[in-house]
Amino acid sequence: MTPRRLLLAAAFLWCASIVAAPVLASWGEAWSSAASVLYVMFSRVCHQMDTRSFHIAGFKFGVCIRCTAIYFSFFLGMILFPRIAKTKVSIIDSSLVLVLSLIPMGIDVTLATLGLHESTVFTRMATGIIFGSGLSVILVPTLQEVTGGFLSLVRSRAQKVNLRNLKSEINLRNLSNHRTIIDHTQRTSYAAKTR
Amino acid sequence: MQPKPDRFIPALYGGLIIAGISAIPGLNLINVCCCAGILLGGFLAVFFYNQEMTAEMDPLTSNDCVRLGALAGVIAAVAGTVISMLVMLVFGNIAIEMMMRIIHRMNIELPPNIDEMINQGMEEKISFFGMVFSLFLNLIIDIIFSTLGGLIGWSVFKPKPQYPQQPG
Repeated sequence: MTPRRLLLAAAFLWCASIVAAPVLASWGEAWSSAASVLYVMFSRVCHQMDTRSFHIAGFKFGVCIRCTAIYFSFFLGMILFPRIAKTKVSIIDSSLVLVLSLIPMGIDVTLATLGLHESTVFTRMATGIIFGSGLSVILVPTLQEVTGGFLSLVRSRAQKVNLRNLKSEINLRNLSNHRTIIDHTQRTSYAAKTR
Repeated sequence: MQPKPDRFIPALYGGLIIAGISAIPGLNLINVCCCAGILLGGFLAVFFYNQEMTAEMDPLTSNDCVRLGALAGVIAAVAGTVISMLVMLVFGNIAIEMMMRIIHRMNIELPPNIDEMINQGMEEKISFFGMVFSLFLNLIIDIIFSTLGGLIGWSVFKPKPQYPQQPG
């Protein structure tokens, strides 16, 4: 498995869990406990306010609209990254990308908190998408590098373990061959003596 | 080359910042924005570590940042669980009380089942299994997001490649 595939699988699993929570909840009593585990898990990362969330079959998503936009745009950024890396975006300074992507969300949240502007579904989604896309530009190359390092470490450990197992197997085989030879010589010498 | 500084102290600072943000009622609202407080803690752990480094040391690596972020996450999960238990023991379920006060001030009428759930939540006592479950969830979320914060720190503080200056 390549680092890119592993990361895509992890990001897909996270995004799928966000949508799975309301889907499982809508399937009835039998699935409600699985849905509640997902809701409890996501409650650590989001306020999950009903009025600020998307719904499926009357049940809210695992996270709010803004968080959904952040995670899904991050996932999309991860898919499109090989194309983004070829553009000039990849050479922009990471701290600049981070600050620029945070500004719209900061303005939306601050003005809404101060009561100077009402944050809408559109502003929450737009600011979330900008921040998620910015994060993908900053994080995806680093994540790929780190995951690549981790996978090669796991592979080298596995190779070492395999090599050790192979050595011990060869040793065991040698030992058993050696024993067969000894047994054979003992038997022939015993046979010769008794004759 | 001088040896690199110890990772524990910067990770401890980062972890305690995360724990403080996550466990103090009111301040933990920062985390409702995609765990911003946890990301910040991982980022700050890398920032503090980078501050301790000198030119004579090996440069910062992504491996350092991942370890710093993960360690800050572990410290945050343990410290956060302890702090929130202490807050609950001393002040009771202050977060729900604060929320109820805001709801009453805004004259919002809640459906009877929600009202009942909130009252149940306010009467909740600390149980051993509740604490272990909370610690387990905190460990997963804090480690993931704090490591991501550490990686954001790496993207910002990584040594910039020095290109040779062109003559003329």
